[in-house]
Amino acid sequence: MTPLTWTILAMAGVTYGVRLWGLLLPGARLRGYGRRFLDAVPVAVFAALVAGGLPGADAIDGAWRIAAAAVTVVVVARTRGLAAGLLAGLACYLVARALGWA
Amino acid sequence: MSASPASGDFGAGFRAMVPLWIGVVPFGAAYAVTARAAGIDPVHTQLMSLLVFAGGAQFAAVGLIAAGAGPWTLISTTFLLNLRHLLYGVVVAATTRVRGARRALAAHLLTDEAFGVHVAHGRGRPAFLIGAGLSLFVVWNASTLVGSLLARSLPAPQAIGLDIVFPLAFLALLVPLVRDRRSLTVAGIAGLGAWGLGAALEPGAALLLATALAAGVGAALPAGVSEAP
Repeated sequence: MTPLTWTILAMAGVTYGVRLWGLLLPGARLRGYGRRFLDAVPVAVFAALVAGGLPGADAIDGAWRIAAAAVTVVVVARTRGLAAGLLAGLACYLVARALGWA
Repeated sequence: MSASPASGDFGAGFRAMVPLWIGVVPFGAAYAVTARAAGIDPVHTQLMSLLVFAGGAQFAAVGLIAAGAGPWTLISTTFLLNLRHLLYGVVVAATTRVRGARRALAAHLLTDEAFGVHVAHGRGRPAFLIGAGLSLFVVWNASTLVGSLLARSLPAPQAIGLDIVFPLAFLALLVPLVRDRRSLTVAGIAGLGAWGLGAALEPGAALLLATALAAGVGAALPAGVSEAP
C-alpha cells in the first residue's frame, strides 16, 4: 500500500470514529438543558449550512440567490414539500442566470 | 406479500434523498475532477469517496494534497471538518433506536444530508436513516466515478449555478422546524454565526461553533420565549 492509501484509511478512521462516537453517546437519557440543547441542534445546523452556502460571487449574484431562497421558503411554507421548494428556488436562480441577471 | 415496515422505511429514506441528487451529482463529479487535476489517480480518488464519504473533507484533502501537505495535516483537517458529525450522532441516538449492525452502517452513512432528511422526515425509524444515507452514498460514488472518467470535459458546479442546491435543500429542511420564537432565535444566531465565523475559520469549525453557540443560547431561553408569536 502507498502512503496515500494509508492516509485515506486514517481519514476514513477519524471520520467513522467521530460519527460512531456520537451514536454511542447516551443522548436519549439527557433531560433539562442538555435535552433542549440537542433539540435545538437540527435548526442550528441547517441555518448554519444555509448561511455558509448561500452567499454569491458578487452583490447581484448574492441578491438573486437570496431571491431564490425566498421562493424556496414560500413554497415550502405552503406545500411542506422539500422537492417542490428546492426545485422552485433552483428554477428562479437558473432562469435569472440564463437571462444574464445573476 | 406486503413489504415489512423496515423495508418500507428504507425505501422512504432512499426516495427522500432523491431531490438532493441534483446537487450531489455535479459536486461528486467536481470532486473527482479536482482530485485528478491534483494528480491523484482514479483508484485513490474513488477510495476516498468509498471510505471517507464526506464531501467537504474530501475537497479539503484534495486541496491540501495539491499544496503539498503531509498526512497529519490531512488527517487532522478531516477530523476538524467532520467533528460536527458527533452532534448528528448524538441527536440521532436521542430520537432513534439504532443498534448493532445498523449502528455500524449508520456511522458510515451519517452525512449532513442524511442527518437532514432523517431529522425532517424519519425520526424514530433507523431503516429510514440507512436508506437515506445509502441513497447519497451510491450517487456520490457513481458521480465520483463519472467525474474521474470525464475529468477533462466537465464544468464546475459553480459555473452552471448548481452550487445553490445544497443551501436551498437545507433551507427547505429548516423551514418546517422553525415553529416558535426559540427556534427562530436559534436559526438567526446560527446563521449569523456561521456567516461571521466563516471568514476566519475552516468551514467545518465555523459550522460547529455556530451550531454549539446557537443551540446553547436556545436551550437557555426561558420557556415563555418558545411560545408561538
